[in-house]
Amino acid sequence: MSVDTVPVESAGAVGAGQGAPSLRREFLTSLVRQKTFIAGAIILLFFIFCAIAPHVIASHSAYTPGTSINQGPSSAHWFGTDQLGRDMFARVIAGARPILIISPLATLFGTIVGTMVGLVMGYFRGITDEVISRFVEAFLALPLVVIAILGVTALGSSDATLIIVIGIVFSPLIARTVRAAVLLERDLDYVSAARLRGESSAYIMFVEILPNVMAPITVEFTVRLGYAVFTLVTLSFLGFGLQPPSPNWGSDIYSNVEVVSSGYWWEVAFDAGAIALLVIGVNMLANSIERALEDA
Amino acid sequence: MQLTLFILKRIGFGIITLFLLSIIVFAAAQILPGDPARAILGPLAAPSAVKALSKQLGTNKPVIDQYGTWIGHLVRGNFGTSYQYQSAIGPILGKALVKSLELAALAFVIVVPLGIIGGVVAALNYGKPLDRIISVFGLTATVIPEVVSGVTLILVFGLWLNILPIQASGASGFGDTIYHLIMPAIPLVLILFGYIEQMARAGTIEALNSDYARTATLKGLPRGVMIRRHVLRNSLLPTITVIASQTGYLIGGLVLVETLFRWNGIGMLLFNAAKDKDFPMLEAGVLTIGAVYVVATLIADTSFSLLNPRIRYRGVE
Repeated sequence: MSVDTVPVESAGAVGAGQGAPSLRREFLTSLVRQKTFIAGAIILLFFIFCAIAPHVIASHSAYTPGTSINQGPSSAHWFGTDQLGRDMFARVIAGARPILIISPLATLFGTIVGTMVGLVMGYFRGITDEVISRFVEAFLALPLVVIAILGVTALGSSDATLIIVIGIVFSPLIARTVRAAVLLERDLDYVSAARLRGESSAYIMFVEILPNVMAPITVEFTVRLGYAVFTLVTLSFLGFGLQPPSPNWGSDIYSNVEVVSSGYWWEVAFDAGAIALLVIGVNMLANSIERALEDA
Repeated sequence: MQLTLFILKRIGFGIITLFLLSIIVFAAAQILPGDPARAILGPLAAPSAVKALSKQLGTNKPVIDQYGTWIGHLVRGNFGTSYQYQSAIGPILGKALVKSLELAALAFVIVVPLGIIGGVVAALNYGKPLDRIISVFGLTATVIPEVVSGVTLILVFGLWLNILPIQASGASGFGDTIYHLIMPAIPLVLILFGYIEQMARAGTIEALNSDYARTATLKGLPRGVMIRRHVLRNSLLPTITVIASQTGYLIGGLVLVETLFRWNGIGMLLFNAAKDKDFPMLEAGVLTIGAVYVVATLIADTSFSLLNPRIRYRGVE
């Protein structure tokens, strides 16, 4: 799955749902006209390329220890070497892969679960909504990182666990947004018409209402994607992500930060820079998509 | 009368939230594979010893009974025994909570005035470059993970300028503690700044465009007086709620910041508990965080409705 096409495609469904292809074109035109979108897309595409073909960019191996340890940046090692003599440039480039696999999948999982829960809450209202709302509120009483730590500790840490845990942590937030959007739709004529036709609740929720609430879901997905990167980096810094020796920005910072006081700044600086760049890129995309949807 | 009802309803919801939270936490602990008694005694212990400890811990009873015993103890202030420290959790947790409060308080003392001033200045310069600069800075600061800002601070102020200590532990005395806590507080400040600034900005813009602000201007009130008396008083109300609602985030941020800067607060306690699979400690810590959040939200909602008569009668939504 390539990350950048998902929001655009599902946003296309917004236009399709309203039966107006011009809306879709308007959305895309408004999107590509924004400098933020172009900049965000370039950043994300760069990291996707790093994730797919790290060896094309970095000639050294990210795993093989070398004899020159803790060397500063040079023409041989652009980002220097770490405590085991591994090339930091290769590790930073290769570190894009786990993040770009786990964060979109976690966000997608959370969006699907959250959308279903939100549809049920908004459509049925009443007691169902009350009960689920209380659970959602209880969940939101905890910081994301704390729930994630609880989940990863209980389930053990693996890529699949991280995807499930981050997805589940996000789902109440997405459910809340979808619920609010569904509440605005459920009393409109097309829903009443479907109900009078005798359509089932599931049909009305997924076929009638869902296409019309795709806009807030799309925005929520892109915003959450930024937070997924944030959460994942934090969790891997805390040691709940990929285990060494795999290159990973968060855990590399954790293991190298103790030697920073010896002056080996390059062992954390480039990882931190890569995280910042990726997070900013994703957020630029999210902002421009939100603005384009408002315009369309 | 209405207000009392509102507050009582809020407290009721708070208790329900905590109850559900305790179920979530307890359920998470049940997922953990294996037998707690076996986990404590290790793989070489005799089966009879494991059985005896299970009986002592109560882990051989039905899950509902275990939950009942656990929650009963918690309500009476008995948090159980930590696997990792082999001593009562209550005092350890209390000490860590105080440490975290020190750090959080410093972050709030810095960020609240800064965020409000930033938001008001941005609003007064609405659409001008200064507004854009402040807003873009706020938005960017909010999305950058604390790992990144923390590492950057360590490099710049700890290593290159060498003016601030890299580790927060080992501070003694009031002044020294603040000196050690400045660097850990800044990543939290950066994240919170954006939220508070945006809220203060939006509130001020709304108040500036209101009828009463226009009337005040038209009747010839100097702009400064108009802003002070009419605009700020109304625009800062929503900001209070945002500040309190960020308590939840703040504690999440504490886990990372405390681990990065080695500060023995509740964040580092949770981190260590999770690392060592110290479940009683983890459960107690997570519930404490939930309780702190619920109480903070309660205070925010109540003070907000006390200050704003329009909200008072709208009830809970």
